[in-house]
Amino acid sequence: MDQKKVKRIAGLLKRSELKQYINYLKLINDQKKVTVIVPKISGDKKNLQNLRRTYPGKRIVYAQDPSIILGVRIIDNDKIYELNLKDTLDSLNDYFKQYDY
Amino acid sequence: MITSEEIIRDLEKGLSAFTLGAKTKNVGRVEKNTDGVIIASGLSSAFMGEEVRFTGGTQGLILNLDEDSVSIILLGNAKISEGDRVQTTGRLLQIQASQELLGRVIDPLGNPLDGKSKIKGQAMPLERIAEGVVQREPVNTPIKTGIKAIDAMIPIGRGQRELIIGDRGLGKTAIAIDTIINQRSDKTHKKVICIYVAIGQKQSNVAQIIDKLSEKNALEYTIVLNAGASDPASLQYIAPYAGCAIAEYFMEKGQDVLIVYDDLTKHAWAYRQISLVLRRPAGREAYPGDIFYLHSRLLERALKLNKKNGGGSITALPIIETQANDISAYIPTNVISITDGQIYLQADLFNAGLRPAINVGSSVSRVGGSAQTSLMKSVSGKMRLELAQYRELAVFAQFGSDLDPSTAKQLERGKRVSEILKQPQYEPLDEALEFLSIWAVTNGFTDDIPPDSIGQFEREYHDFMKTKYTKIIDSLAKGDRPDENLLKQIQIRTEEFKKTFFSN
Repeated sequence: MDQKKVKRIAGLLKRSELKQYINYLKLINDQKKVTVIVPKISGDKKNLQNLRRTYPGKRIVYAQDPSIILGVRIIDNDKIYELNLKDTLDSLNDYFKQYDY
Repeated sequence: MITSEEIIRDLEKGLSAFTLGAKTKNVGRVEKNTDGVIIASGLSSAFMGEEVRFTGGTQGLILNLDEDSVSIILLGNAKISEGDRVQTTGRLLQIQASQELLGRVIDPLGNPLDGKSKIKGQAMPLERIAEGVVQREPVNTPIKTGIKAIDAMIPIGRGQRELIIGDRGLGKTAIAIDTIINQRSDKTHKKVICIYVAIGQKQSNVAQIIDKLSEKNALEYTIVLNAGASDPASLQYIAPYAGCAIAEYFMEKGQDVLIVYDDLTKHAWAYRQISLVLRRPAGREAYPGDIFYLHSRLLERALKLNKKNGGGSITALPIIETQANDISAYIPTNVISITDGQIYLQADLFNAGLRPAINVGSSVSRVGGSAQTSLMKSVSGKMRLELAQYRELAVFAQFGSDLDPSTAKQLERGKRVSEILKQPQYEPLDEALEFLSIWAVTNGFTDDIPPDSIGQFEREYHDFMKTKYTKIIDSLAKGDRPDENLLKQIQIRTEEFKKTFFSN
């Protein structure tokens, strides 16, 4: 993102237009970014390479969240891929709640 | 009650679908909330009519898919603000249906409103394409309303859609409630499960109806689904579909269901409100272009399944409120054209004391005739003819005082036929008693009774026959055309009663 260009455009916009512009920038930013949430960041380069191959042209951002216990959560724009223990336990909980006669 | 086999089958079904693989969630962000209509970004995999969940568990329903946003109607009163997360569920909106619903009062999402326990059961989709012609069979079984004028002249069959239309305060709901109450006493056919869907009604009115149903022991086979006037338009919009989904659950089990939509005018208002907030193009009377489809897709789900498909049925009694007797307005004409007939209530008849204020001339049942019992058929034709002749002669009789004896006799008979059609609210009659009343009046047994004493005559006549000649009542209750012998017996007993009536 070119900061100079963005600042120049932002200066020309009304308040409501600026709000819309920010939303679009966020959307573009989210579309170009993949967030990988893990319980503990290990710095494994092999995993990073795999992710780069899976999401070519996208920026890979690592984040740490111990609450997922084990596994990974990948956020790609409006899609979230859950492959972690917390989600499995939550799913089981929801599933049995449904049949709580 | 859900059987243990059903629980195990459900669990097995769920288990086969349960995998430990990666799960994909499609999420979005709330951008705008306008009167319960939410614009959200993201949700690129969402589909029309999909159920979504907001942070905190509030449900929503997708109604518009735009290029880079999705419009969602909020199903509830939760506070949703900009930036909140919303997630797709991958399924259409559903309601839990089971036998446990009988006698309960719920909201359109299936949440109990009567303070009792939560209801669990089979998930039924609110929106569904109605069964095709191959699965159906023609209407052939009557649904008895217990109202003489309807059962005799505008008969309703199981699987029929009969509109009740009229101005406010003319007794539209009363007809529907009487019909529900009367299902208690119909012993000749399969038991009918009743669903009363209140859309945009005052809570006090709904409470009164529940109270009346409970008092008449009708609540035990009735489900009341309420989306009141203070509930969001979104809940009022989904209410009839939720009721229909429950009805389909019972129909699939081979049962007969009666569903009352009270009323579809307010349903159309709720949909208009949502559509205007969604910025859909407004058409006639500011209703959106798909207002006809809104009601046609709902009422098309009322049907009679053939034996191969269980033989269940859904009979729909939609109610439409008119303004100043105008049945040519947009929504009334739409629903008239969708349904299989209409019961038209008129203010001047109501004010003249004729209650139920049914205009027999404008009311029609297009398919119910084939479902009418032979018993009722044997007297209804004559009554309809006498009533039509009376109405015609009454107009001419206003201009002249000299009438020939036969015309005067016809007028007098007509007055009595009109009187016998009067019936108090919440007092539906058995078919046998309906037959006796109509038979007595059309065969001249009431010609010597003053018209204002017809009501008293009828009440006492019914009591007399019920207490002294139960065999006759039992024979008539079978619904078969009465033979000469039975008619002779009825004639003798009626004359016997008349003697006591006059002596008193």
